[in-house]
Amino acid sequence: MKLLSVIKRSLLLVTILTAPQSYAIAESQVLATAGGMNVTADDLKSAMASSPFATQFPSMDREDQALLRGSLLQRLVASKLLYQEAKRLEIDKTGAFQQDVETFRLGLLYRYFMDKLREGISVPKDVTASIKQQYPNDTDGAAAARAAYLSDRYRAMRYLTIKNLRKKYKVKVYESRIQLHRMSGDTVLLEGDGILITYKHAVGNQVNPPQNKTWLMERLYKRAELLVIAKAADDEGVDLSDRLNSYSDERLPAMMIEQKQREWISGKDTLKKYYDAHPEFSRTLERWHIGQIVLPAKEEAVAVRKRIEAGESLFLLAGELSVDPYGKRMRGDMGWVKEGSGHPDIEKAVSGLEDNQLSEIVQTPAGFHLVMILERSPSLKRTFASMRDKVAQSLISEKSAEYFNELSERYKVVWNLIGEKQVQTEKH
Amino acid sequence: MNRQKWVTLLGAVLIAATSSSFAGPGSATGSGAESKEKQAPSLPDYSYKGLDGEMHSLTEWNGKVVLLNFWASWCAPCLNEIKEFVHYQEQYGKQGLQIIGLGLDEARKLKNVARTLGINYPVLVAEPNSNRKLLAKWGNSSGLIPYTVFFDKSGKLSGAHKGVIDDQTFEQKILPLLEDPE
Repeated sequence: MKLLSVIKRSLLLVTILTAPQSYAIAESQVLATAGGMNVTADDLKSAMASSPFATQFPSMDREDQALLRGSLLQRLVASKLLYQEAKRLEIDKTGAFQQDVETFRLGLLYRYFMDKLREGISVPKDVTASIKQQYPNDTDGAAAARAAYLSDRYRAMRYLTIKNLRKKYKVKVYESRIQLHRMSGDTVLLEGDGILITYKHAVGNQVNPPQNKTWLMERLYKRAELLVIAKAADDEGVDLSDRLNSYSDERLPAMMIEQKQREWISGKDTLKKYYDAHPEFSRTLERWHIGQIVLPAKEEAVAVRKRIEAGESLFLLAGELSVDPYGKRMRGDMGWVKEGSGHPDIEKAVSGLEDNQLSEIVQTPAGFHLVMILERSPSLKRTFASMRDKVAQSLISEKSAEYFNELSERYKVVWNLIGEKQVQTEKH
Repeated sequence: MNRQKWVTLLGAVLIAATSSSFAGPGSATGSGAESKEKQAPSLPDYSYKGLDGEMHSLTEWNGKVVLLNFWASWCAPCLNEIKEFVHYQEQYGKQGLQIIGLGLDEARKLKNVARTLGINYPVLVAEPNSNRKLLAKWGNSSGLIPYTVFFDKSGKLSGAHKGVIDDQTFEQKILPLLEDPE
């Protein structure tokens, strides 16, 4: 776990990255390099701003902030590793990736055009005057009336724009070809200058599309609206290269890890085998309600054992004699504990006991123990079906750690961390 | 709340701020303790504990244009507004602007926010569990934050603003107070 150890070290050292010192660090400062790709303080700041913890972060204690930033830094480095691996495996040249990018590009073009359309709409002076007259001394009412006016105008403009664009690009709809059960994926349902929609395009990723003409027509018109507006924006020569590059930077690592996850759980019995090999998934642990007294010397333990066997209460004696401060305070009632969570020698001593049967004397560094199980909550069986998701999560988490180790060997990771001495200096 | 009601409420706050009827329940921290002596012109003599552990009366900032900003660490818009307030304080502090944060939250969390965002003005802490009443006393019966009340250099309550104070609001409502010699 070379990477993990480095990350642990980084978590300690990135204390320097906690605010307000973080603001003193140049945003371009390189915090880590993965195979030649840099992760800068600015990258970390952006990741933090878009994380679910963005609001809580400022109110966190310094140590918690450092841990969170360390964890985000680790994710950013992992993302760089996955990106390079995806490029090496040419995932960026696959149809799936290119289709993803194209869908994103069309969305951007559509939004650009519609935003511009919306920005071009304003409330004329006479309408403003009329609203003021209608809502004197009511700013909220006037604002709502303005918003309603703008919304109506936008709807009308949108309708007109789409109508004009359909005309401009000579869009034709082949409604007569829409015959359910007779169309193939390549049946062209709509076309125009630089625009083509086949049945396959209209249906999209829908696995079992409803065999319903109305549904298909809606899909077709939605797709047509997207395409004509995207084409209009494209014709204006909008430069989307930065945003498309950013999208690729984020999407490639995601596709890489999705591909690996599919590989890890692809085998027919992979998850079942993992479930069988990890008994913690197939049953809950037995829980025991424990009574205990701890004595400082073996002779005393022998004497106390005889007193309990003769009928005295373990609890009264524990409240009086136990050298375990918690046990003494609780008069020997140690509460519920899960099997496997106690000292191994004590676990061994109680494993064969009946309820309320006193154990033999068990020696641990804390003293000489006498223990009994007062009551128990039995373990419950958990079926594979009910645990499938958790099993998959556990397997993926295990495989991911191995995979990141492998990647960090292939693409050298260098942590540009500030030494502890410097951290101390900065802190004071 | 309509505008007319709001103006009326502000008027009530203004009157209350200069009369003994505005006195809190007597606690020396949080809800405020008013001096019996009335000295005009002055900011209302309300005292709150600061993040520095000391008690502070608003009168410490007499002669300044004071923005008393009510906020909490869980309020995302408040945190965004604070980032701007830090710039305002830096830019207009010399002209007499004094922003004062009044945190409606645990002191530990408020301290962390002050450290993380580099707050460069005093932060006072409201008495726990008194937030709603405190805000109502300051003219904000809805209890929504961020909420800011502002005073001119003579200590007169000049206005209040619910929600984030954006650049336009700052320019329209606060900057003129800084330009006004008295």
